[in-house]
Formats: sequence, C-alpha cells, structure tokens
Amino acid sequence: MTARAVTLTEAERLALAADTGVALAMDEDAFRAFYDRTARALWVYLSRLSGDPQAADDLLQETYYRFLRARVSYEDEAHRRNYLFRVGTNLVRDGHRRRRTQPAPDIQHDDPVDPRSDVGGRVERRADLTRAMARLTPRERALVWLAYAEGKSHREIGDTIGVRAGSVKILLFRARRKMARWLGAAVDGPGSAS
Amino acid sequence: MNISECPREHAVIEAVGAGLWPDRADADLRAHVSSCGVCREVADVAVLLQSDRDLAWRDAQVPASGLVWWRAEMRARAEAARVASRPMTVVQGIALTCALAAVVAGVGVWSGWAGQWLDWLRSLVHVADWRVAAIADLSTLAQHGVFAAVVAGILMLAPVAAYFATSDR
Repeated sequence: MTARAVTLTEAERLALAADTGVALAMDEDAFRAFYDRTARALWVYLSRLSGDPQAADDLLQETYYRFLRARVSYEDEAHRRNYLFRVGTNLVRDGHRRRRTQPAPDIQHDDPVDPRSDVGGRVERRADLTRAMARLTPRERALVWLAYAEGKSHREIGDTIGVRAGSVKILLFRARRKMARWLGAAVDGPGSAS
Repeated sequence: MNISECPREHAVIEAVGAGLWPDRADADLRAHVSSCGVCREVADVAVLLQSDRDLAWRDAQVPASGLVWWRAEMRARAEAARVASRPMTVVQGIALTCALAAVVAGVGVWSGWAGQWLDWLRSLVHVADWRVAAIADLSTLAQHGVFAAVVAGILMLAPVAAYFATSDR
C-alpha cells in the first residue's frame, strides 16, 4: 500500500480549517461509507492506544469531528485513512500529556472471552499482552500496533505518528524488543522479568 | 544500538495477518523463521497483537455513522454560531464603554448646571432673609437628589449593559 507523506502539522491543519469556514469536509454519504470502512479499526486502535475502551468512544467521535473539519486534499484512500489515524494518535498523545502527572492507567480489556476457543493458555497470553502494552509509552504502543496488528509499512507508520520513516525503524525495533522481553519473561515466570 | 533486522520480517507479518501462520504458511518461510531470531520475535509479537485485534474488532461496538455525522454537524453549527457572534460581542463591549462615558459626561455637565442653579438660589437667600431656612433645606434636598438620580440611573443601566455585553446571542 502506498501513501503520500503528510506535510502539514496537525496544528496547521486545524488552524487552516478554522480559518476556512465551518462546513464539514465531506458530504454525508461519502462520510458514511468512509466511516463504515474505518470505524472499527480506529476504535480498536484508540482503545489499545489509550488503554481505556470507554475513552475510545469519545476519542472516536472527536477524531472523526476533527477529521471532518480539516480541509486536507487527499491523494487516495490510504492517505485519507493515515490522516484519520494521525488525528486519533495526536488526541491520545495530548490526553496522555495532560495526565502525565497521574499514574499511568492499566490497559483495560473488557472484551468477553470466546468460550468456544479460549482456554487457559490464550487467556494468559492475552493478559501478558495487556500488561506488556500497558508498560509501553503511547508512541511505542502506536508503533507496535500499527506495524504488527495493522500491518502498516514504516512510511505509513511515520505518516501516522508524525516521525520520519527512518526513525520508525529504530523506534519500532526498541519497542518490539521490550515487548518480546516482557512477554518472554511472562512465559518464563514473574521472577525473570527485567 | 545495533538494530537487528531481517528482509523477511514483512513476509512474516503478512502471513500472520492473512491467518496463514504457522500451519498454512510457506514451508520456506517457516524454516527461515525457525532459524532467524528477529523473525521469530516478529512472529511472536504479531501473532499476539493480531489475535487481540481480531477479538477486539469482532466485539467493538461503534456508534452508527449517521449519529457520528449528526453530532459533528451540530457541533460545527454551534462553533459557527460562536465564531459569528464574536464580532457582535466586541461591538457590544465598545457600545457599553461609550454609554458609560456618556453617562459620566452627562452627570458632570448636569452637576455643573445644578451648581449654578443652587448658587442663584443662594443669592436669593441673601435678598430674602425670611426665606433662609426654607431655601437651605431646598438646596440640601437638590444636592441629594442629584446624587440619588445618578445612582439610580447607574443601577438601572448597568445590568442591561452587562447583559448585552456578555450575551452570546
């Protein structure tokens, strides 16, 4: 999947949108189609990034609102989608900065466990993943999620979180090492955690 | 920091994403992963994250697109109204300032006239001694009357002016 580099900062886009009027950037039909293609993926991303499924509901609404108010000309669907995720990433990051003085919340997963397929091992692995994700910074969470859950390229990840593709490689490597270490330690036993 | 990377990482992620890993993945790729520490690490992390994503995706309950659109439209209209009323608020503030200045100037001019009128009354007092007591009472009453009228005017005008200055509509 190819993507165009995002050149304007979020603040510039929002200022531009504020200056150019109040109309939303899409018509309702186009928005509904785009929403149906992106909402679930975005909600899951926001939920995992913020660590709070309840907050993800509000973040979802806010993300689409800001997306609709931004006057950006998109080259293609991938660019539009990357921009949407970028808005969501910035919202979560801003929220994290505001809460920085408070202790980091535990990642909450309130998804019901599938009784047909899920037995002890899977539940435990999921809990390990939850703990490992909670220990990462929001940017690291975004990196590993976009790379390994969404399968995005380094270029797309860079566009989404606002760093150069070359930096993505290094940051992603570090985040993955941490996760793998914590997940491995969890499998080996709590005493071996670094 | 040395960055360990492997050119086949993305193939591993794609295989996991397509649900082919590990049983239905290419045998060559499986053999590579079993001997490559980087790809093994990538596969372990990707399997867990994609499994978590699939479960969350299935159970995610997002609001209807129409509702999100409606809320966005309402909010955009509210913001538009707020932005449009901003110049009006500025104009109302200027109007309030002018009105207060006019009231102060009016009181000043009127108090000057009242003072002249009272002086004329006092001159009459010297002419007609028998009216001294009555005129003195009248002079005090007039001074207090001016003050009371100014206070009453401000008390009546200030809430109205404040309302127009701060109202968003």
